Amino acid sequence: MSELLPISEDQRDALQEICNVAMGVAGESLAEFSGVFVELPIPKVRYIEPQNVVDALAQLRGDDRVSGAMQSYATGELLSYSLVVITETGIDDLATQLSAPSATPEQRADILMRLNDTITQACIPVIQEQLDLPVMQTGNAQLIAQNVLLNEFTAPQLAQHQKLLSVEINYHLEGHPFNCDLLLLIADDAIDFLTSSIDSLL
Amino acid sequence: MTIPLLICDDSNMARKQVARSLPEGWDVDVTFAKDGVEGIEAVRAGHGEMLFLDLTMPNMDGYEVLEAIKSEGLNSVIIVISGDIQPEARDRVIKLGALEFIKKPINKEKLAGVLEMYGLLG
Repeated sequence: MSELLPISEDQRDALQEICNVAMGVAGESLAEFSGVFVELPIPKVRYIEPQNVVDALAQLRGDDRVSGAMQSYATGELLSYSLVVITETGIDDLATQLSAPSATPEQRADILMRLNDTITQACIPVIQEQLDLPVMQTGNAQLIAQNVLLNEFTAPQLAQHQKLLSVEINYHLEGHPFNCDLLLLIADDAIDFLTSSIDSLL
Repeated sequence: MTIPLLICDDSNMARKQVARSLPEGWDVDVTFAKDGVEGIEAVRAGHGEMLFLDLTMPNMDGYEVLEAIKSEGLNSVIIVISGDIQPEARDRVIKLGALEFIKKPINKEKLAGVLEMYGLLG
């Protein structure tokens, strides 16, 4: 279960709107990448425990088989993450759109990593700019799961944190089975830093 | 003459950003709506002769508002202000009757540029 948010309603609204703008920029990149119009949702803010990261992937279904890629962003001691999780059907769909081979696990991982780069490289700088955040050290994108049941999906890299603020952004390609979630995850000890940046906008 | 201006966006911060971006001294009577349902009701009630409209909203999105305004023949000059910057999104809203599309985040310069271009400042 998602828990009561540790931020005020105004801060949640602002975070959602900031992510909405970033989502749009990433959506355009995804549309260019895939050649299909991207349907954009309303970002959803939640507060989760790391072992329950699946709860934040609400737009995917538990019986979906999925693959995921993760990246970290550090400002000093403060950590945040992006997590891109796509259904296997979504990878098949994207492979067809890209005329890319997708028979082997390596080829499928390659498609996921290109998708991850397309989304995160568009989205993260827009969030950084809106919040006037200092330069962040971006970790290498890592493949953290391949062809697993969503219900069994875990992200052990997050276990060092007690709680995380998550923003779910779901991407659909119009008229396609493609279904992909972008999670932005903010470690609990970075939340005060985030909210002070948000407050300066309000 | 005072223009009834409706700002329709589900985000409180976005509504405030639009309100803060209005030109100084522009003679408008501002109403706010926090989703498409409230928005279309306000247009029907005459509060949206000019409408600044978001696209991604709960209950009724901006596309549906545009369709409703068109099908009901309501009188409204509509400027879409959205984070959905796909060229296709812009084409779709223009086809649905919007005058112009402004990319979020909005600011005074962007809004003034569009209002001046269409001679909307009176």
